[in-house]
Amino acid sequence: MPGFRLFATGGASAPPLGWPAFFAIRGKNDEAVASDSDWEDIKGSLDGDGDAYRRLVERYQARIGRQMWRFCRQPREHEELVQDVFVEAYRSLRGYARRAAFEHWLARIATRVGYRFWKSQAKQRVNVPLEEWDQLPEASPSDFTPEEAGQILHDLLAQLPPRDRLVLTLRYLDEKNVKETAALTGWSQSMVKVQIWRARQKLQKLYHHHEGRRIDV
Amino acid sequence: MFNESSFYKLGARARLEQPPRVDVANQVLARLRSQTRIVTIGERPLAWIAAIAAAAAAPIAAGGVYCWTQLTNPLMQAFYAMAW
Repeated sequence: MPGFRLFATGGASAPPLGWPAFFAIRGKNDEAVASDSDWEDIKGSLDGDGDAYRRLVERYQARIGRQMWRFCRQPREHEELVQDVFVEAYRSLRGYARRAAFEHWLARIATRVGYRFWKSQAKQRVNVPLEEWDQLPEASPSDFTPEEAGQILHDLLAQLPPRDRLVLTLRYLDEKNVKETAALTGWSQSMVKVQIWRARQKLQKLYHHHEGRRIDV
Repeated sequence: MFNESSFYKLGARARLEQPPRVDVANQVLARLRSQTRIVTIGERPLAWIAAIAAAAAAPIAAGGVYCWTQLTNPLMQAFYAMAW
């Protein structure tokens, strides 16, 4: 099936497919590298094959959709964010050096896009709705539906500045450790540790600020 | 009392959530196509305009350089007149 041309460009600058198997299995950082089908589609996309990029989008849109749901819970904005991730990924595709799995590389871009979205929101926000603490029902987390739990965490963490919000979202919602958070954000591990510590302090301060209203998260 | 483990529990619960399904392949490709088209349309005419402008400017620049080299200092003209 002939694909339309996105860009009339040359080939990819990453290692060729014919490399020995151990290079194909493990990369520099001991992470799984792109699968052969991903790599074929990446090369096709770089050569301007729109169908190849379509296959990549269709393969990863559910995964990215899940990740971006942490950043935005408005369906329309959420979908736009997912689009932004894939548009930005296409623009950066030439820089993908196959050292990490394509999925991880995409997740880093998604984190960047989401963080930028939060920063733009933080600039627009005039007043932080601190009363959202009071929405917490007096029940244990297991009594909530997953949607409620997600919404509550989203609302509570939204009261923090974007950097703090990002590290805690990755920690509480995505269960990322310091190393994984550093990889996703591009920050150093020591910076991530400091950021987590500060974010917890701020969250604690917010909690104590509203303690009188009976908040038992 | 602030209890961080509750946040972890909430997070574990929230991970079970099914986010809305998205199908963005068509929109992504449409956006990429439209951006590519802008580049294609934008660059070629600009290149032609730049080439024509450069061709038109070249004789003017050559004439300017020639005139500059022919310019003489008015003070020197006065000295020459006085010397004779």
